[in-house]
Amino acid sequence: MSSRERSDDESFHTFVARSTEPLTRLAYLLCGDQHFAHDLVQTGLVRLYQAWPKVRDKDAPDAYARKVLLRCWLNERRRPWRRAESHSGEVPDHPAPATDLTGAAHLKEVLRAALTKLPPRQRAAVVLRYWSQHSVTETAAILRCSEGNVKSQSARGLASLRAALDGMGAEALEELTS
Amino acid sequence: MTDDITRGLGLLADEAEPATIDAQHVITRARVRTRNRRATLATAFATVAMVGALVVAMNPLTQSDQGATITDTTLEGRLNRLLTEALPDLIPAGWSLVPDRPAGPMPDLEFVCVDSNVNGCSTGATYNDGVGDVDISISVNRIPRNFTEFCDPQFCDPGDLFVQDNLPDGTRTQVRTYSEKPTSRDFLQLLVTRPDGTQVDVVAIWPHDTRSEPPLSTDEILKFATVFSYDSTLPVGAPLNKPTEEFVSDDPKRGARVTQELTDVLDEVIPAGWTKAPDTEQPVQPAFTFECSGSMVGPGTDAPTVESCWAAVYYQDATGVIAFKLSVSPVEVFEINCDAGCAEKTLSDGTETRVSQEFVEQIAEYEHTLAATRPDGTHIWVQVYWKEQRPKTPLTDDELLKFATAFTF
Repeated sequence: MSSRERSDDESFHTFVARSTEPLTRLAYLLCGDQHFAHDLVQTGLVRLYQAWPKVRDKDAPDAYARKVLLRCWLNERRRPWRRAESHSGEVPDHPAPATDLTGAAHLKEVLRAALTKLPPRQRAAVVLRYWSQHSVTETAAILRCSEGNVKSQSARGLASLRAALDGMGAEALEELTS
Repeated sequence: MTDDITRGLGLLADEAEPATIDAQHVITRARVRTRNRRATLATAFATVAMVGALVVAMNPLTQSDQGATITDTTLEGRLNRLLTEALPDLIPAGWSLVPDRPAGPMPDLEFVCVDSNVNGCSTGATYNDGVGDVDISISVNRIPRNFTEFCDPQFCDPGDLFVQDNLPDGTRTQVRTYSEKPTSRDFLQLLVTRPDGTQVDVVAIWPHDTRSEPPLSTDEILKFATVFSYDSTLPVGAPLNKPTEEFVSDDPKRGARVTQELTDVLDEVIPAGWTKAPDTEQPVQPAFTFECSGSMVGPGTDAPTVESCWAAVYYQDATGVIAFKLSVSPVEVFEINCDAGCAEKTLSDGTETRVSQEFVEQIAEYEHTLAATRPDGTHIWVQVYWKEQRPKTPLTDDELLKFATAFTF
């Protein structure tokens, strides 16, 4: 192994140690499933490593990693067994919502359900814009689409989430905004 | 106002248990995939195309049966073998592989299987046919599908249905085109149901409106229809989502012991006024607890599995969250960046230490890192990191060095 390769591996180790958590959180928001999120992070890192010599010095690898992760997810969505899982009513790895949920628990269930109903690109745009706090320009770069497309996708996604939140009780909304 | 949405998404994200990622395993996996791809390509292009095409053309429906006499040990291996054997006929002459496209939509030309409640394997690659790039993706499993699953009218323009036919061996095929509006991509897709229940999905993807005809003709994409057969009796192989074998520690109590050692040293190091912060914005695992596990260390798929212990600890002071990541292991798992120089010191007991400080501009984060090797071979790696809320490290080098002698693997 050359010194350059060794240096690349060292920096990749460091990157993985530092970035696994935020990447997992992003993956979870995108797919809504713990195990799927872990698969996505691992798959994304494998692909990221293959480009590591090119990205480590040129761009912020975090942004590139998010881009890779997102592409992994968008394409995994197309996998037949992923669609089968989402259609077949498989038991999710979070509990079914109870009927008397209040506050944050209710909020999470409402948001989870609303997110699930969003088309993939809308969901990605909403997560990148309103959770990752990326600008429209950054989101467009990650999604590889126009800024106008990001605006329309995120506006539609946001409207859907808003509609879902409008049906929540005052208690949960209060907790949400506190 | 989107603060409520942001906070709601944050609450949801808090549910995510961080993935346990072994960076060395990721590196090994990536290298194996690259090597296999190169080997596959070498095989494909070294084969005399005419001879290969002739053989396949004479017996196009029995390719997968020819392999039945070969003992496959995994589903992944079986599908890779079938693909490698058929590849010279599947990829049109003149196409060239676009190497190193990790950000592209497809993995390399090696089947990767998911071992979950519904097993399945997929592969793909990006090619250039002289007109432009074309992503080829193949999925093999046992779940029947139809085009409506792929082409949701909400974001897809269904195109033409070219073929809906049965082949002589009973294989049912459908081929159609469609456009995905949000991604501005066009698709040519083949859905296959084989007599043995194998389901195959082959798709060619290219940028929207960049060519007048699909990159593959109907006859060309139909060549994929009879290549694969899914053997549900085989284990999937070495799926990315599961370790190949369970690691058994030689010391089941190691995690509890080094956790106690961590507690002892933290009591010495943490300044007055700091409080534990278990519910930070980036929870890792139960704070202040070491988890020990085995992972492959070194290059190659047969690299030895070595146990290492890992913990994350969060504190809060008046400026915000200050995080620690710690590793205790018999080999050097995490290394230290000394590009800008490290303070090197050998302690009185022979422990060799290196300490670095840097500001990682890309993530606007300060890092103060210690790497230590004890005389007994224990490797200790501690990183303190914090955001821009404070200009200076919360710990002095001497305080950080207290971790260097705190642990024994």
